[in-house]
Amino acid sequence: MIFNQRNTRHSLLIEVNPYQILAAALDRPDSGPVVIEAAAEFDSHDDAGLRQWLDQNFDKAKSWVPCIGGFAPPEALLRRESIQARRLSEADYLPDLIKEQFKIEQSANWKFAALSPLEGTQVAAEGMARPALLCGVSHSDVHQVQQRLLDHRLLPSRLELSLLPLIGTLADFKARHNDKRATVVVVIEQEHTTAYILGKEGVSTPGPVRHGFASIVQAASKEFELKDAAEVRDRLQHADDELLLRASKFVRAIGRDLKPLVDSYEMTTGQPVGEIYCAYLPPALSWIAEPLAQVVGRAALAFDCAAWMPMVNLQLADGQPALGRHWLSALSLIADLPGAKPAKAPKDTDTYQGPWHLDCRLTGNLPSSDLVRSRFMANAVAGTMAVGALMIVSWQLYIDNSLRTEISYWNQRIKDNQQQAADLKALTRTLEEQTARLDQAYGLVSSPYRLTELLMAYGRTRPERMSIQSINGFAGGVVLRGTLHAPSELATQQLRAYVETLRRDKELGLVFGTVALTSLERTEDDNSLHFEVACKFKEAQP
Amino acid sequence: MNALLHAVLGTCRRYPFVIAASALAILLWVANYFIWRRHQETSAGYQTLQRSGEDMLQSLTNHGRITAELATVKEALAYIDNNLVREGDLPENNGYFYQLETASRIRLQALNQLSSMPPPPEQSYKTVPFTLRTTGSYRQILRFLRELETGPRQFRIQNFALTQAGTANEPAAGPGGQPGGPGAAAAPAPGTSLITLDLTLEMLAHP
Repeated sequence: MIFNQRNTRHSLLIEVNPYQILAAALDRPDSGPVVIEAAAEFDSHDDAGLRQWLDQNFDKAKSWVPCIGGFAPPEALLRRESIQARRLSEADYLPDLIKEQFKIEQSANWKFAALSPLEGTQVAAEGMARPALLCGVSHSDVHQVQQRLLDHRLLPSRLELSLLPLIGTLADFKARHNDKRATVVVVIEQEHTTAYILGKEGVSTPGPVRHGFASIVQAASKEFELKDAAEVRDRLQHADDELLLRASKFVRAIGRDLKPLVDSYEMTTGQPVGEIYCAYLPPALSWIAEPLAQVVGRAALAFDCAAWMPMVNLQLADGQPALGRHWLSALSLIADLPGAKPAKAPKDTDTYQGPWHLDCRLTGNLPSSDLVRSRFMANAVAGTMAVGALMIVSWQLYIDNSLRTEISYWNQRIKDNQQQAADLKALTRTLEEQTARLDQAYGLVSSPYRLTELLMAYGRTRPERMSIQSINGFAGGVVLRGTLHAPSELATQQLRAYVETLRRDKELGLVFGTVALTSLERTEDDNSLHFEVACKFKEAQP
Repeated sequence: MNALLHAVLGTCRRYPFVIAASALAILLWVANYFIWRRHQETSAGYQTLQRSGEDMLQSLTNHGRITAELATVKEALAYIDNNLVREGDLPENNGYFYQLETASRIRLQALNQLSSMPPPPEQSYKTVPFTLRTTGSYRQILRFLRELETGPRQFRIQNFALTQAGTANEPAAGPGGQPGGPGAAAAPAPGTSLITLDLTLEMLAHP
């Protein structure tokens, strides 16, 4: 494993171009050149190989590997056009201009920028009409590449159109070598070829050539009499003498259309075109550059990466093989070129990141920049939810088990006492029946008083001069009749007191609810009173 | 569909822990819900079972009390049943009152057994009414009533009437010319106030 030290910043350089995926592991110390620790090349569709290489060279425990990415979508826009610079402040100016000039319908779904064609700096929104290099890429192309990187655990810190840094690098290279001639950068796509001419007035963008790599395949098919496209492509990968001998025929269609564009540039600007550089061509197809340059009547650019890298603050790690010319566009992404730096350091979210560098990322679709915390928080929340749910499940299972134990206990207790309970039930039923009989007997013979006690109570409460003639008892109560031997006035007072005594008597009060004097009759001699006292039971007897 | 599957797989690959933990949490919360539902049902059944078990144990603790109560009730019923009146056995019925007459040393001037009403079908007992009349001193009347109340037969007084009956004139002659002999009504002393008791009562009887 390469990256097992803690005091260096490690990242990945990756370029996805029409032919290959180029990946390099970088060690970026705080000072000194960027060291390329490892490099690998993969077929443009070899995601499995890339994943395996990443797993071997980066710590799997790290969720994300920071990377600087470059890509070359076929529908990208890179055209020189005259613009009204002061109108750049208008949000709709650039999309409307590009929509009108280049027939891009869904311009709202594109990311645009206007750069100086000479220095690659951002065009300020001031001044009158001036030429600008209009750069654009659709969100769908960016999203596709971005998602592909994310699928490989790669988090892009920059994602650039790799052609722009390449142009910047070639312009710097020419300036270093004091080369006054223009240079043509040729990008051979599948169905068309695009040329970018780097001259004294900056980048010129002639129209595309309608022949691409497919025309080379077609020519080779005829020449080698191979009908299967895969066979032809495989044959083109092996640059033997026979292939090199016929190479000019294969690229003739492209060169035939490209040459007028170059000649026209020379005639228009008066600046000679010196060399041609074919971008992105892998080593197996690098033979295309030489015959193409010959057909156009120019020379292929001789570029020594090993000699160039130290000049742009890049260094290969010890033991690493030298990188070929096809790495130029990828290395341009991290090359430290001389020149004016932006006065104000650009933010991570800005599109313009310096001369010839445009960051095309869709930051809204990327994981949060506060990656560690948000991921930790997400992990913590999800983990807490899972642990909480697990604890509650465990608790519920424990409670459920306890409940079932209790149920078993009670079932056993009930079973053990079932016979006793049945016996007790029978006893209770018998008791109820017997008690009912007893209640019947009580209901038939119960009485609110005992006659002897009643008579004793009347005798005890009788005043001294009172004689009782009769006591009659019946269902509703008792009537007491008698005579009080006393003068009328005194007799009435004593009778009133007597009735009150009957009412307040402890024994009689329990039996009778009402005690009233119901009759009073004076005798003829005026020395006695006949009276009648009615005592009603508290509850009427049946 | 493939693109969606690819996106899902990509997300899973990028966030393996979050995806796994979230899936586990969802599964566990769903399981929690079902376990909770089952626990609620089991708990309701357990409450019922526990109540019935506790009721059973509580009732078993009353076994001794119920047995004692039942014995007491049976004893009381046996006492009542042994002393019930048989309506058709007039000599026995009147004989009971004559025993009281002897014990209280008073003479019953009238004693009649009346016809009883037929009891309801579910009734275990019925009552047989009696009327009687006697005259004596206050003490004699009280003694007669006390003997009646403390006797073995169960009864209820329907009506009673106590009225003055003048005063005693001379001692009554007992058998053999001896006043106040055993088994005869004792005559009250001369001048003693006499009381006449008219009593209507119902005695508990066999149905």
